[in-house]
Amino acid sequence: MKDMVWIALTANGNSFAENALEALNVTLVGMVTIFAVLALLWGIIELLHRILSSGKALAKEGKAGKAEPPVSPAPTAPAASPAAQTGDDGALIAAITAAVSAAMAEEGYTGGFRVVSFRRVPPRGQGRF
Amino acid sequence: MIDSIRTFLESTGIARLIDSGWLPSLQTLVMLLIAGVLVYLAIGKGFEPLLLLPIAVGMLLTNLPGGGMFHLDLFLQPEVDYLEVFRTGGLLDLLYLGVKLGIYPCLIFIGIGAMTDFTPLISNPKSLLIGAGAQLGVFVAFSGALMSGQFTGAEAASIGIIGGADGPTAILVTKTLAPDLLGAIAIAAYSYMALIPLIQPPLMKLLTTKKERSIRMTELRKVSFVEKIVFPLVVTAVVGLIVPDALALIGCLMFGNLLNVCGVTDRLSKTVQNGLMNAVTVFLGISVGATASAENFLRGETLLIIALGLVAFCISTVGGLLTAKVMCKLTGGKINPLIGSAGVSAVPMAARVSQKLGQQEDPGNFLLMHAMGPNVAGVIGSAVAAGVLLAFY
Repeated sequence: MKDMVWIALTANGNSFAENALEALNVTLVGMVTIFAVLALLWGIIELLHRILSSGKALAKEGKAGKAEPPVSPAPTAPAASPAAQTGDDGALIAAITAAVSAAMAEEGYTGGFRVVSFRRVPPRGQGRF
Repeated sequence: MIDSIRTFLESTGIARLIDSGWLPSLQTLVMLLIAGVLVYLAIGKGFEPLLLLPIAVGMLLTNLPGGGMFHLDLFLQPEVDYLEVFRTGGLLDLLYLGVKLGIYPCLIFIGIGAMTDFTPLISNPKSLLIGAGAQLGVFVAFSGALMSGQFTGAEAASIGIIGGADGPTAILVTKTLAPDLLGAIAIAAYSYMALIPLIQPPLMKLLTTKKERSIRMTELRKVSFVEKIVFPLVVTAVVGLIVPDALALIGCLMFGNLLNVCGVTDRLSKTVQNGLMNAVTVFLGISVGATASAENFLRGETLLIIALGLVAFCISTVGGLLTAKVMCKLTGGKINPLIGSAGVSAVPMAARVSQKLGQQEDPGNFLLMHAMGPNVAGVIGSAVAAGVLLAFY
């Protein structure tokens, strides 16, 4: 009798139990697939981020290692770079003026001088255009 | 002279309406009224006007007697005779080919991909799980439709995908599995998307505590150029390998995104975001509206579809919220569960609702970018859900 009622309720040709089973089957497979695909994408994005971050860190270390030797012999340079980074023009002008004065003294010039202007020289290989 | 006038009068739509009998005439008038209501909702209320207005006009054109602009029966045969479509079809029949062949939804997805910023998702990829949880409504509505016994599995799948809150995805699935339900499903999908600001907030308040709604999330990290480039390629490859039936949608979505982020195809990106997207939206809307003829639309199943569509939307919202709540607990309260409701695709409306509710609790809380992650994850999730349903039926 129950079967007859269920068959009467369904117009798609299946019994209620068959429809319920099919619905459960598709729902389970569907939700598991969606979670699996999106979780996999999460994992790949995280992995990519870590690889890129570690690559950047290595590159930074490499650059820092290469940059240190030329800086160390010049005593005036370390004083100049922090000033340049902070954008303190007064300190930068003082450092440059001291460096020019020292260089001129080495060449035997003892007279006074005045810094009228200074401009940044572009690094090698970088043209204006 | 009198014969000429009589012939002309007999050819008018009014004469055909009267000749068709009282029931078909009444049905036609009801459809014209529904078309008028949709025009009002689009223009007067601003509900998804870009799509509802062309849909309403398509509905109007197809239901005016004697116009012969659309013949759905040409497309309902197992093997469509395309020569017959070209020979006897009207303007809307020809435009409908873009729906029938699955061209418009994919072109729309290229435009959506180009317009969508995936960086909130790349920055916080855990959001993908919320996008997955928010597909629950698709399968609950599918189960409800199937167990009602009124629909076949293929029809139930088309009804369920309304819960994905993604118009092009719903249209692609329905044109493949249940073309005679296309009008009702498209109208339900776009109407509910427009009603998100009304449907979601009560559920969001019901399922979250005041404390949870006040959670402030940490700032998203910056996303590198390489990540932006690799992301669309990886998503396409992974989804294509696991769910090939979703490849058309996901491939187009990610192609559009790649055009936008690569930085060397600005012209193409702007074209797909504007010209292409707008043109396809017109063709898609008007031809989908044309499928809503009186005999297809005015039946008991339509009311059931509209009711199940609402269930699908609500359960998807609940699924996203519950997933976000679980993640909130697991992360020690670092995730505001309000972003869970944004998992139901509908970019960016759902994310805006999360932002609005978050600010109601704490005016200084900015959830929009955090909610955009689950929001775009929902687009991917609904495309995968569509792929799964297409694979089954």
